Amino acid sequence: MARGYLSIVLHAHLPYVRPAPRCPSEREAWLYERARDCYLPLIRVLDRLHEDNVRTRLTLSLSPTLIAQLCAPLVQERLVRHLNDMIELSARELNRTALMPELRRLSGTYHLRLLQIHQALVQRCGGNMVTALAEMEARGQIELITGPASHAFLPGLAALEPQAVRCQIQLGMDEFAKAFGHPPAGFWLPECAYTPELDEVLEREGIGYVIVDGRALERATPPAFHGVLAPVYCPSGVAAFGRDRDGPGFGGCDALGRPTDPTYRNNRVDIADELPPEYLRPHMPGDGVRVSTGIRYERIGGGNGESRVYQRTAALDRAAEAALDYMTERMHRTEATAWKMDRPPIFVSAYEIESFGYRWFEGIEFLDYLVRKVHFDQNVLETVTPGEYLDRHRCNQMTTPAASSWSGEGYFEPWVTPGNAWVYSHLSRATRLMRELTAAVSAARLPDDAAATGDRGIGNDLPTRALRAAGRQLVLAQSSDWLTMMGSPEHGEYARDRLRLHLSNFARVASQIRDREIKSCDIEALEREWPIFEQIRTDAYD
Amino acid sequence: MSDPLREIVYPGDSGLGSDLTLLPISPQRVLATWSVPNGLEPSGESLGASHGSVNTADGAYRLRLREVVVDPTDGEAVGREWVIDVEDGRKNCVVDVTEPGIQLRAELVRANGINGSARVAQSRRVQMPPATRQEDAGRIQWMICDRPDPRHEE
Repeated sequence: MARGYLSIVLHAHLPYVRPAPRCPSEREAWLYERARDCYLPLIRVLDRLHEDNVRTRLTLSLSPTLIAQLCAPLVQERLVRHLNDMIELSARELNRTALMPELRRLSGTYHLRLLQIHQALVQRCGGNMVTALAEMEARGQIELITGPASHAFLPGLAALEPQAVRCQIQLGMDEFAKAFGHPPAGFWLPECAYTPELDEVLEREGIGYVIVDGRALERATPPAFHGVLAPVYCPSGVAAFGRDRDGPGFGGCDALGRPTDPTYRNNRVDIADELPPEYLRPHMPGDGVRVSTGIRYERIGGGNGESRVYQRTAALDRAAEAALDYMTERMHRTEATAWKMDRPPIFVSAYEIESFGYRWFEGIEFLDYLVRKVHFDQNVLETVTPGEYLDRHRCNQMTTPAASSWSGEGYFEPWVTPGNAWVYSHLSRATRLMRELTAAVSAARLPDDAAATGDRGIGNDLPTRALRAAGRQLVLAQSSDWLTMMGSPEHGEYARDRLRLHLSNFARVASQIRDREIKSCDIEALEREWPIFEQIRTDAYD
Repeated sequence: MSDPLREIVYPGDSGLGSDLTLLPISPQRVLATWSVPNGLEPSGESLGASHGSVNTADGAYRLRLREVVVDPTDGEAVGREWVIDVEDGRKNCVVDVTEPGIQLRAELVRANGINGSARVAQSRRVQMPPATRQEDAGRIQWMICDRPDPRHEE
């Protein structure tokens, strides 16, 4: 039996972006870029690990907004088209770089990689990555978890209205169950943000475990006896696993997981920024829309006489070295701590999935090497999922984790700041109004209607549909993405526009419900334009 | 930052009444945000006199933050207090409190003459995060939980 556990938890999330009617928008391409650089390469790695009989236990957190987008037929179709475009572009790159041997070799690598990714999507997944992930879960390779419906910053919502938290959690669980046919094993708290007020709601919704920042356990009341090296039970019985922050991150990356090693690929220089628009236009989704191609020839280092061209083999060697260091450090800490504990210590390595492949190109291979090294090269560590750990160790300390998040200081900035206080003011008014409208519609419903829908607030009469349409807009407005993007020069305006759109949609429908002048065409239009959260219930606000 | 979405009007905003929310930022910083519908008259007397200046102009708003000390026999008692005069039109402010890990409740009051004030809104109680590792309680409680396999549910 291993003396320590390594639990790798990867969180995948993107805000919900409606597919544009004619051709994909730049925001929609966020998903295509991540699928190309991160999700599909990870699926390929997991399949290879399975074929090689390598014991793999990864936990994958999929946000409900990401699941909805991955399941949408139009998104699936456009993703295939994007990969076809990139394959054609990489084929042209083979010609363009024919007289530049170093670049030619790299463009050949990209061309082959894109063909393999295309094959993974079309042949392996049948166009739908969700079904492939469900299959991997069924064979025990991954444990799937989810989070609040629109990735809301839950401590902020809890301060406004506990009902809003309940609605987010309930809807997130329902959306996951719709996609995978069963409830999730655990629950991802966006930004690892926890406050003790969440405990009761999490338990009521049947959540088994959450991942919190390590500081939530270090500052727990009373303190966690084993620190972050063992989970605790919150007073309700929900288990909280502390994210390990003590060990060094990935070799050659900064604290945020961005590559810094000179051999790694420079992710900032894409041919989409370098080559003439007329050359790229045939491969871009539409007029004036520019998306990254993922074809990048430069490494981080170089210059001053040294070649800047990315050397794939050297970069992969560095990633393998980083995987070895990562594992060795956890092995040393296991040896240093296991003798003091009544159980093997667990190191919960929780990261955003984007760090692997998308932000750090070699990150996917790092994961592959890490899992293989843990399987073949040592007998101190074993990979486990949090669910598997709880099956093996049912007795854990009970304590109250401290309010915290995974931000630099470990508290609630940048999601709560004077600069975004106005967002909370809107959300507070809208949430209180939602509660008032729910009570009014519920009071007006006939008992037969309530019985027909199991009283879960999913009726199809016009007032209930209107209430649910308003609820969807409110849920979309509550996303933590808008708070995160608000301070960014690149995305701030988009975040404000999205908030404006969802809150004005909400206010308009709320007005119709209140005045008992519901326009069915308006409700139908909203249902059509925002095909997400179909299962939203209104009873969360009762 | 001023509200870029001021144009959004929620139906019956005034009917919803005023609202005051406390959001912890860090162990010793809390963000208070409030909305007071136009024409709303204060309801109810303020819970008590403030320790700060009370000679505020008629109609001016003031934010009072109070430490809530939970007394097992008497229920809630009030500890330290922070009083902030609020400029006209302001909708939020950050308050630095002197100690981490305390519980706070706030009220927004409106002056109605010398020494007089009436409550406009009251927040829910919030727990500020602790700053450091908590004192060891000396006793560790353990719990055993059975975890059903979610894949076999439903």
